[in-house]
Amino acid sequence: MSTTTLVADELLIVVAKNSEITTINKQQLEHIFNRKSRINALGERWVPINLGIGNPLRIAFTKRLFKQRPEDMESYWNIQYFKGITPPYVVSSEEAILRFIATTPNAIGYINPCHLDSRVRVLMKLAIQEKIQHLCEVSIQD
Amino acid sequence: MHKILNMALVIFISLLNSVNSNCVADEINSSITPIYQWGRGINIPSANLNIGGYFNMTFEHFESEQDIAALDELSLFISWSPLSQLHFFAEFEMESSISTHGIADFSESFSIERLYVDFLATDSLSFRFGQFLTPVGTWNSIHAAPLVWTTSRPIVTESQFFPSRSNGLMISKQFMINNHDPDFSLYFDDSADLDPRSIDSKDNSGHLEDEVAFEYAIGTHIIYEPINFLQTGVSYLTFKKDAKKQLSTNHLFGLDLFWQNSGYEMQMEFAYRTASDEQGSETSTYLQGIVPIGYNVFAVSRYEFINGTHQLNSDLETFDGTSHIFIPALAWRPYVPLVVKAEYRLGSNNKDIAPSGFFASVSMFF
Repeated sequence: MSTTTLVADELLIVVAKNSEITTINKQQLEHIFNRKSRINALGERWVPINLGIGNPLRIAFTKRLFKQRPEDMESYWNIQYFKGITPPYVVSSEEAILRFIATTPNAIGYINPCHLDSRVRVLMKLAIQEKIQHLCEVSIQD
Repeated sequence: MHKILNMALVIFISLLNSVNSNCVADEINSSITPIYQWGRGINIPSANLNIGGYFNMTFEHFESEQDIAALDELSLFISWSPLSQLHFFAEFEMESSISTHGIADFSESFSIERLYVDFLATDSLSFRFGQFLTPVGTWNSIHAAPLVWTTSRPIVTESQFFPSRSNGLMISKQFMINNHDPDFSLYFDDSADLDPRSIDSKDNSGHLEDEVAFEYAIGTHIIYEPINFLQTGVSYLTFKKDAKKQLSTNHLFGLDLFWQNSGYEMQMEFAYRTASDEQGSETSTYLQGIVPIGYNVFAVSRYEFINGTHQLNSDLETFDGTSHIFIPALAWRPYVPLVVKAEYRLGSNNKDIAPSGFFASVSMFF
């Protein structure tokens, strides 16, 4: 066994494999993750999932969608809190995102392409401005 | 006005009835357990319930009055979404309950600040029914002490300019046009019939004794983001104030700008109000800038201008003339939910409308 590091220049936006949602655009994705859009076209609640605030994947995702770092959005979330709207749930790893999405209707999250598996379906590929190098270590059979 | 609101209420209830056929029960993953996060309240995902709030402690030293220290606001938010298209929100507030002047009666200091239900018809169209903050400009909609940069409030956002709370129906539509996201709100107020505040606070004729409130109002607020980080808004409001004597209808036109990037901020609001009787006309604006100066400390500077006839209290006493107000301030935000502020207010011809003095406060979301 050996380990190699892959370089990712895009993120995968994923939903459960049996989700009825088939397409989404970048603006809709923005509205789901800033919670301006709280239900989908079927009238069901979106459940967006984030990684922790310092996670490189979360930073790349936030910069791509909102042109800000996650910590710069805290004042936005303060305002939303006053309006009764809470930010997306936070989980600790991409594996936790996959597990959550697989078991929660209408959950949506982002992962590195090398972590894609059969539990989820890709809804959209999101190109990122800076390549993420150190996140995608995979084991390769010699 | 009553007929319009009744019709709106019938439409709203019809929409609520349609919820049963459209909504599905939500099954949030049980691995997300209830959690308390400082500044975000306690969240119970399985019930789609969030409980939180904020407090604000103030110290006010006016040049010509006695100093006051107070627990100025203690607010509790309850946000509950039992179905995907239904969202209930309540804010209960204790105002000036404890101060250097003594402890206020519960009935005097307690108020229902907001109490409404949202029906999300689609991902971009919603209907709100209940008591909500009047959407004129930006400050009034986000006036909580931990969100704003100064202890004092600009005159153009005070309830004497336009009542801060509305009771009725608001329809909001969000558009998606090339990332500019214009938002449109139209609201109908019938406070004369719907204001939930205690009967104790109304006199024999049914009018609120201590507050400036609507009798009725119709208004609109449009928000547009022409470029990144810049939000612009336009407001129009026609309203009648709740008063013991018959007053004529007011018309208010407002503009607002809000720009924020990398800790820097610029905010402006302008409003012109006019009425054909003794309420007269007034113009007011403020321009506020924020600059980060290190260690989570921010320099704040605000200029305010008012000209015309301005109501000073619920007894309809007025200020007539022109006043300029300047506020240099500092705000320290060591953590996201916490802010400590200090400011000095000075100006010309401002004794009655916004007296000079030193103000400080500590406020925090919990």
